[in-house]
Amino acid sequence: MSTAFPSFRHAMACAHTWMGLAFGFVLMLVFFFGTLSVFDREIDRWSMPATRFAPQALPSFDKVVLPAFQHLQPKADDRAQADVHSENPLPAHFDIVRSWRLYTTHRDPVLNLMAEYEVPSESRPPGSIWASATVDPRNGALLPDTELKIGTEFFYPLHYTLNLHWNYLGLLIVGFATFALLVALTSGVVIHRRFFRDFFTLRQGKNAQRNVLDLHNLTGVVALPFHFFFALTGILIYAALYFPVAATQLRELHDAKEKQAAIDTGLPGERAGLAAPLASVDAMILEAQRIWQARGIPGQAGSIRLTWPGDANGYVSILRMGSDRVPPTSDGLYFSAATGELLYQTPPPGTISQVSSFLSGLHLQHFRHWLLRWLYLLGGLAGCICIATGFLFFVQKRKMQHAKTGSHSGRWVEALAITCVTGMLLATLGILIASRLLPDTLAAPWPERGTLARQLFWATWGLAMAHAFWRSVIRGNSRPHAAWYEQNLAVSVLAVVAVLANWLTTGDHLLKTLAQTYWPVAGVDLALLVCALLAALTARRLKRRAHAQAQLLPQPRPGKPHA
Amino acid sequence: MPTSQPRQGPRPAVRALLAFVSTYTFVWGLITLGMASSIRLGLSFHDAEHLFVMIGLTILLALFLWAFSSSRPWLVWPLLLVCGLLMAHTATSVSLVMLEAAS
Repeated sequence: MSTAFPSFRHAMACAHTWMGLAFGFVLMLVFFFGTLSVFDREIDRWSMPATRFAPQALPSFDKVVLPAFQHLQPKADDRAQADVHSENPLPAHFDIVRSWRLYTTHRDPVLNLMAEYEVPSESRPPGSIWASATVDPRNGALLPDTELKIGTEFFYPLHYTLNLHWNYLGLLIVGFATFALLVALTSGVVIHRRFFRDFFTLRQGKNAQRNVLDLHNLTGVVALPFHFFFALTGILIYAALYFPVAATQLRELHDAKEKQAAIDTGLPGERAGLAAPLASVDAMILEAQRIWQARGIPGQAGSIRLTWPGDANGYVSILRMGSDRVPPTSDGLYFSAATGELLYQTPPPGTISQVSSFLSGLHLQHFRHWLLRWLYLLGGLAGCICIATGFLFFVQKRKMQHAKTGSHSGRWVEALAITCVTGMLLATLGILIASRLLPDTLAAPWPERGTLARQLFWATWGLAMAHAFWRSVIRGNSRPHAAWYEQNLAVSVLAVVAVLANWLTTGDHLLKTLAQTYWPVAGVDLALLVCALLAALTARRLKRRAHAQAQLLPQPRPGKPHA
Repeated sequence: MPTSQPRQGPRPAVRALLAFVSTYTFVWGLITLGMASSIRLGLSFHDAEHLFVMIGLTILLALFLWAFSSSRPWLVWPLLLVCGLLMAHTATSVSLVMLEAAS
């Protein structure tokens, strides 16, 4: 089809339909797992029973955190992902520490530690290898490293990387999809003739196609500012990847300015190569709190980073936790690791930096504001409904035309829509159930528990996709809506199974967690039950509709053979 | 009797691709030139980067919609492309002047 659009509105309708369809499948995943990420820490508590306790104050760094860092070494998975180009095999033990990092928020009961080690190379610049650990702040005990933090380690990165890390492929796909969302939102406003009237319109009792369109318009219009803001800030957070100006065309200028900025701070630029003892980090944290208090911004340390600990040029950077403000961390203070002397204080940010960190902070929402957190959840779900109803409208509108022409493309779209709506729910439930039912240790050749849970997520999704295509494309004529009905039924059953699995494996049933007002687990259980109820009601409605449609079809006359 | 021929143009997918490539090139040029010029005027590198990426992203969206819907795409797309390349080339020149002055 060749096109020259008769008007701007026609062009926008084309952009809205085809860009929405092409990228809607990715956007559905981005919206859904982005929405779940609003409560990522709470999902972690549900999937890791050992971490089901209240958020703790930062413990003594010197007594609790430091020993954990000193014993930290890369695991097998970390070694496989090491950023090294060494001809020799990796050493068994890594001694040169580039950095130790700790980041915590007001919702984290456990401490997440990360360490970066230098990997020497004979022919190339030294590479890096990373290690991580989860520590119980009450006693410094390391939590089992086979557990997968489903919220923060799987759902959260899935929503912006698709967990495809090869050459930033996932980030790039999500970037294009997010731009397509901006195009779809803007073009949607342009093609909407009755923008404000449709805000209040939901014609129930009309035909299904009209209902779907009304719901698409309603969710699109109600949450339009939310969707636009999140798409825009999502791109801005990774702007350096989408517009890699500093790494390409202006690289020399960037490097020169960075070098000058590093000199201005007075912080060491490289390791001295001389061993030095580590001064008390607890004393540095107290000094940082005293300085913030004196500035009129009392607060807690949220991010602590030790660069080259054990080296004479090592230093400790302490950033203020952003629980009471939009930027995640701020007001950095830098101390000498060897002497504890204050080396540098981050100056107050300029207007542009403030705007930029405000926008990214509002997207990441590490601050304390539960009402806004729930509004994010509702906005995200509205986005999911908007995309899903967009698919349904596309399919329903073309079904009649395709039935006449014999085209199957509508059914392909429907199968993909089923895959990325109910199929995605099934995959999510699959990993949640796996996290509760898989044994702590698995014998060879099975992978470790967390890895197997990830694999089961993708396997469940793959099965849901195969089922959707089998029902919609291969057997599409015989059982309309069959895949939607069966997958909704499966969602309702698996959601209840997840709640029961949590009860049976941990003893934390809903009545107990509600009585204890332990909302991270009670909330996830309640959400699962609501999901089960909605899926069961949808399945029931689909069955009734299929039954009504079957009755409308002409019945074969008695005594006459079938054609 | 002569019949009016419908106007012809590229397919929507080709339109979208070419409109994106041309507008992205234009915005790339705008960001690099804006950054280089504002750094020359005293703004820090990262402040310049944040500012012009924010501006550039907004312009990218508006220009893409215009380039996609244009009735004269074979004029609009090359124009955007050439303007972007010219701005990017100027940005390189400005950054080289700064680097030479610093060395």
